Amino acid sequence: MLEFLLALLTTATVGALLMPLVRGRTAATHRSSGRFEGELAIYRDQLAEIERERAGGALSESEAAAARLEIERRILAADAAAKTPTASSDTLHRLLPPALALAIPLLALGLYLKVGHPGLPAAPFIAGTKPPAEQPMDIAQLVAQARARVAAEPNSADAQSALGEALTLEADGTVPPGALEAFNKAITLQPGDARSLYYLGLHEAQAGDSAAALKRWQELEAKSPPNAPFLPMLRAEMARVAQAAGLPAGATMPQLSRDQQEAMAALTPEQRQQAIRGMVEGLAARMKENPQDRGGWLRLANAWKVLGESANAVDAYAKADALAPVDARLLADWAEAHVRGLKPGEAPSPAAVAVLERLEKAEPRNGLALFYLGAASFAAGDKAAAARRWKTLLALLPADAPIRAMLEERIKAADSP
Amino acid sequence: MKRVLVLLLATLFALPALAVDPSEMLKDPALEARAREIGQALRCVVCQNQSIDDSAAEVARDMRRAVRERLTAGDSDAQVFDFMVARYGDYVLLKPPFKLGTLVLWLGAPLLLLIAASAIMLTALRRRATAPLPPLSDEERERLRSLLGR
Amino acid sequence: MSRRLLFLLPLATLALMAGFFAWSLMAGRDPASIGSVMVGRPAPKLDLRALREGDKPLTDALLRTGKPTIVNFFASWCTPCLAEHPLFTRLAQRDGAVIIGIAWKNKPEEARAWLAKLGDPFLYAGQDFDGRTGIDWGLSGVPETYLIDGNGIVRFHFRGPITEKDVRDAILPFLKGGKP
Repeated sequence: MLEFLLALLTTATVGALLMPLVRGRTAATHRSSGRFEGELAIYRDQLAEIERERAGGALSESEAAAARLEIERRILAADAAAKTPTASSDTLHRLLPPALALAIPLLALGLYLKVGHPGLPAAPFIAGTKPPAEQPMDIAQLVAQARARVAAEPNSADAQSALGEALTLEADGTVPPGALEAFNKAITLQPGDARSLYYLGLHEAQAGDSAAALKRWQELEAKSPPNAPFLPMLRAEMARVAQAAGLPAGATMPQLSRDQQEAMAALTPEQRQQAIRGMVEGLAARMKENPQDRGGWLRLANAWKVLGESANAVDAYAKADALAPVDARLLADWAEAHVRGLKPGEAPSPAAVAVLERLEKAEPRNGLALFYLGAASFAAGDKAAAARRWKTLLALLPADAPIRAMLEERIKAADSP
Repeated sequence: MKRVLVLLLATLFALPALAVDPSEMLKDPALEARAREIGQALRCVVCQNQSIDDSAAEVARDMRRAVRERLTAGDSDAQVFDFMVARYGDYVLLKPPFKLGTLVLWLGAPLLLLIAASAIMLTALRRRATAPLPPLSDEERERLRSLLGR
Repeated sequence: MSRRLLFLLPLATLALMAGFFAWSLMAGRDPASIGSVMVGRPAPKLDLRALREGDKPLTDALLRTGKPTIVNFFASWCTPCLAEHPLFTRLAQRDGAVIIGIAWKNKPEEARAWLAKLGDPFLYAGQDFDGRTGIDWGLSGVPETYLIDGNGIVRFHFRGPITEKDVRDAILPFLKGGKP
């Protein structure tokens, strides 16, 4: 119906514009002789009037002559115009109607496709009408059922996340504190629970941390089976949040395309390792050309660390640190890369000690720093410092930690004179 | 015929329905009249182009009440307008004040008229100022005679 | 030739106006936006009953504490208020923002139930049931949010719900520096 009306309106518009043009053209062929006769009659009258006024003395001889001359010139000009066909405007006249007939509907259609919403369902006449009365009842029922299920199975992640979802529905799509609590419980019960991960991300987006939301959702997307039913919805939501926050949807993590992911899945573990190494080496080469990209160095460091190339990872961390000092969490990663290659009992290198000392300063109770700095102190002959660090560490360890025995042995050695 | 005339007059002089509720009105008819006059000149800030007297919006109702409260407290009309401008800016006045920011608003239309008028004047003047025409040549006189048929 | 130019003048004026209107539409400029005359001026007076039972009434003194303060007008019946609510919750919890919430044209019990369900980020909460305070603050509806510096001067006035971008670009810098 609407399409029909739109077509009708367009036709009317084009018609209104074409009518005078087409009519003008057919009239033009008859015009020359007929119109000139009319003009001539007027000029004749004017000449007669001048003659009358001259005779009556209203015009002097010279004034009358000038006026007559002007009219005579006009008669000649009108005659000339009637005789020469209007050649200059002919091409324009021929081309204008079809051009307009084409251009107007095209322009209108283009504009409509750009700003219109052809797929939009008809809106109810009164805006803001309440949904049918039974709907609030349903949600209240849903919440009650979800609560009952949580009471019956307190350790079911699914029950918890279902409650969270019901509470979110009840709050018109905003994740309320009660739902947040339920989702967090579900996550501790089952770390990969997709529904909870989705809603925790939604909460982050609503609370103004869209970057965290997108990161969480990207991880969820990567972990989900490719045929998971919620993936289209998740991707749409990611696009929406990214757009609203002005972030590129895939910026926080280098993402493989769908094809690349499928190609990866088809490889043997050795081939996959080889492919990953190739990608990391590519990143390393790019970093050589663009050494000011601190984020790039950190990504590279992490990649080398995952591949077990500790020395390369240590270098990359140092490069990033030189651009801007790294925080405590990265210091821990960096220190770990430093000490991973050590044999049991071997003391860390001076470079490793420097990183470990920074880590200890940032986090005085960091186990890694306490253990290896203790070893460094012991190797340097400072037995008291070694014993102090190891004792601090021992106090932090749980009673059943497997390295307690080894640590106690070492403390004994440090305490002996 | 008479009935048609009455109907016609009634439609011609019909006023837009006011949103002012009888319960809002002041007891003093003089004060209420002033409140109406002010209300007609104040813009409802959430409506596109309605006065607060014409609008049923919540804010418009509050503004009407504020106008009446100010008047009852003894404010002059100007003081009531100042009260509203202090809170909502010049936007609240349906007739904007004449100042730098509203210059285009006030002078735009007259300026356009002036430009158009001077364009017409100039063309007319130019036509009058054209040089005297050269007399007709013999050949032209001949053509003219044949055209006029004499 | 110059006469033809003269005739083109009205056309050029029309084109200029069309261009201006097109720019207004495209540049996302809201012609109905009414701006605010509050910014740069001392905050209007605050004298309200507390929303939560047992709390002290809200007074002007709350706006002149030396600390930047956020004033948010909301209502439980207002959907955009729902959308911006988690942002205020996070501002209160993570950034320790002092937020004064004012329930505008909202029955106190409904506003309280709404806050109980969604969480209550407001250090102080008042009720403006009849909208008188709203008029004093130049309010046009809910939600609207004002940022008030430590000396009680209004520095920002957001009409409509605040967004992540507002928090990032205006509110957090304001809370840190006390001035825009």
